[in-house]
Amino acid sequence: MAERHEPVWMRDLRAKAKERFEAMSWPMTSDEEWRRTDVSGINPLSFAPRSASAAPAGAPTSRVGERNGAAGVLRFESGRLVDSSVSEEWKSRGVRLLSLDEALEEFEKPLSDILDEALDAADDRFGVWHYAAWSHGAFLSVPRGLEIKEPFIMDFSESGDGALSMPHVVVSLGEGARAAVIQRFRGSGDRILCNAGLDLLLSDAAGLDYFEAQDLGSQSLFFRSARARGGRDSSLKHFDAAFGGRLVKTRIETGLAGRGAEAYLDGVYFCREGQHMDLRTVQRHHSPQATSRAYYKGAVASGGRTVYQGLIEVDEGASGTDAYLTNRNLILEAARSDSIPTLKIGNNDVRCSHGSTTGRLNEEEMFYLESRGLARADAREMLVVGYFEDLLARAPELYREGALDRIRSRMALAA
Amino acid sequence: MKSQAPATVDIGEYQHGFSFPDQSVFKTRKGLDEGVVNAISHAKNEPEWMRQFRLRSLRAFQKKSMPNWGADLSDINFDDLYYYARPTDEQKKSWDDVPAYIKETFERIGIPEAERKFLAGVGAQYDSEVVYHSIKEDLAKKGVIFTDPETAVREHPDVVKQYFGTVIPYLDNKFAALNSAVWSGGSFVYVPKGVKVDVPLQAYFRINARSFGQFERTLIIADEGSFVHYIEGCTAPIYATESLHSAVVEIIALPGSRVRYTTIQNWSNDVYNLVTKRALAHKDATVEWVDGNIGSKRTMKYPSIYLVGEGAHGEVLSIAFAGKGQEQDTGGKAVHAASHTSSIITAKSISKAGGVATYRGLLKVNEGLHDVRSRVVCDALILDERSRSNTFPYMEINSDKVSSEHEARVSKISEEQLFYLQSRGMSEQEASLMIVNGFLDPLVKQLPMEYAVELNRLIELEMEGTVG
Repeated sequence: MAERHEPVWMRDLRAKAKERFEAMSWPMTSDEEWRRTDVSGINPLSFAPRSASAAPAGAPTSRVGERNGAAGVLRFESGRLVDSSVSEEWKSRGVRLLSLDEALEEFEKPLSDILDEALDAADDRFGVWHYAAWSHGAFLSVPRGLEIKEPFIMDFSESGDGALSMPHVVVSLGEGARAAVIQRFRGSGDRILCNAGLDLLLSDAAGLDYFEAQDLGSQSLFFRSARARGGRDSSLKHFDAAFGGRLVKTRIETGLAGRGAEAYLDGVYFCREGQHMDLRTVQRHHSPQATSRAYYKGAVASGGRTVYQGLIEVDEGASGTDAYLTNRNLILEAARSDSIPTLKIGNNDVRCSHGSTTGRLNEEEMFYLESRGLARADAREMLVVGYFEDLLARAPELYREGALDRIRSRMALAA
Repeated sequence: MKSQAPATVDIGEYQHGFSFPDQSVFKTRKGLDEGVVNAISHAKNEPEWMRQFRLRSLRAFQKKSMPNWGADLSDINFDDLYYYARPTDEQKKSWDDVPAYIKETFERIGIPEAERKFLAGVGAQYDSEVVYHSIKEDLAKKGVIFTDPETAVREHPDVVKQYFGTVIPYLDNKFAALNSAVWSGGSFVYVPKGVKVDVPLQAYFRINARSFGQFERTLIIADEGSFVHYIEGCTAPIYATESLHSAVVEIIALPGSRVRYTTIQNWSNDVYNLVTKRALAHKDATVEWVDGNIGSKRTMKYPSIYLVGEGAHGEVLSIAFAGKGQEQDTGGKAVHAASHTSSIITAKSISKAGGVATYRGLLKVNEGLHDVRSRVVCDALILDERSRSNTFPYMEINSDKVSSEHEARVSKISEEQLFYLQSRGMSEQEASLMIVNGFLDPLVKQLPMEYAVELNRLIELEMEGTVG
């Protein structure tokens, strides 16, 4: 890390994380959150960090024409920044979209606060490791009062057999600011370990729509820990789509820290032969009158294995909490799907509930479609796309189409 | 008046909170080792195979770690407990022979002699040995065996050997291992083919020795096409030091049989109640657990049903009331190991005065099955802002031709309902009680009448002083 010439505070933070990392052991199946995901067979330290020479020397020049209607674009290929561009208009009004290492000096105060807190909250070795050794990433800052409709796009293309990648993204919105982000992970068939992190900070009345799509290669191991904190009357929408990876273990925790805050966590996942996906959402209510929803929907094809773990936790002082969590699983063929929606409620003035269903394609609907002349495979695809439709309808077109393409191609493979 | 109502039930008024001088005839020393286990086995005059089973279990207990989830059990000191005490020298045949002080205890917990005529057989347990046991003649004629497990080991060794420890192996968990090592008392029930037992079988348990653990062992075998309803109720006197109750209940429901097992647990608020209950439901068999948890300091209990034959059906109805200082970590498990099986788990909990009610359950569907249906519903009511409610339903589905549903709700007493009832002239206290009763009603209805009455009375007692 020394060759990175990072500011002292960042080096201190990495050192602190490293010290904790050394003292911890890798998660074991005796740890409740890891009970269904056994990582004892992999050696995370056998993956090689990319050499510093592969890291960016500096930001490439803006290529304004390639933003395609986005407010800003950042692209990384195997940890190297290859494209960076922000609309001049937003730039002039104080919006910053930077690679994270560039932002360290200019944004020392907000970044050190956010990352310090995130490191303190990290409670497993992958999370702590991430803060000790994050490799590249993005920083988006939107000043107070600015409302930006066009999305910011962050693309992370990850390849290189045996490579270790630890991308980190920080988004910080000022009071009343509004923005949308699309973050995509893509990969080749290489066997890589990606241990990603995400920190979202919403000031009072800020609004963030964050769309994350993971389609890494079929041999990848993907760990991701995301944290969001929302101030008074803030509104977070986080949408997750999980398609790639051999082993996927992700967590998003949203803390509703201000009165009247809202958080919506949506997710779709499609898991097939040879894949293991373990997704966790946490809705943590610290303040009164806040609302949260989690809605995760998955399809599991033959030989796939999914785990969904959801938690609603309500602090003693969080009266007037309204929280719901729903998990639906569609089992297409012989596959395994675990659903663990949990509640921890410490206040009586709440409306909290959860629902979970697991089932298969409706045979009557299949019969109807086939009687109309559709081939069985097409009928299945139509029903599965329909199953995800209500959730995907909430996403912007660019993102929705990408997700639907992936669902269709996986259905074709599963058929 | 409202403002004078005590926050919790006054210990001085708690009618079950009495105890008599300890008159145990034989008692092992505190702590647990091979010597203690051998002494228990010797005192019971057991065959060698049971002594060996106890010793194997003891080694498992010593090796197994405490659960790293669930209620806080860190203040259990296994070395500071007695593991065996026998109150009287021999099994009494008639009520008249039961020592007066034990009778008085039973009198106080509400087994009046008048009620006995309703009871098919009373396996009344005082400390860890069955002291009173009677079986109605017609049951005996039908071939129903209802006795304590010690007698069963002596008189029906083949049946016991065939089933004992098969549903819950001694290696299952630390507390099952503990029970397997030191078990004493409980019930053994065998219902022959086609026999329907039309009155519930009941046993009352009671702890009555300081720092004394009770480890009863119950084994119920319902042969093909039979029916039996077993009722277990327990209350305990209040002591300052912790007591440990760790039972094992095994049920085998053979093809076409139906077994219902009802418990209302009202241990005093210093008892750790760590119980393993599990049933096997074979082809076309039905098993129902009705499980009410009102008392104890901390309870961990998840009655389970393993549906191992096609057409099997399982139901768990769980009620928990967590008051001051209490933690009720309860629920139910359904494991589907055969096609064409169904299960329903319904849980209702109330927490008040800082109590913690936790639903913890498992629904598991094994690989390659079809036509499996399951539904898990949890409802929780939190009565004040100091109390907590948790829900941990685990669902593991390994087959595609399955339908599973789960719902959970946590709420408080609705202001509108309270307002409506108060506008009809009820006090807030009465209105709250009525709403709580309505909340529990679907489950209370499943209880035999005398139990429903007892439960309602307990809830009323627990609700005293909730408001104001």
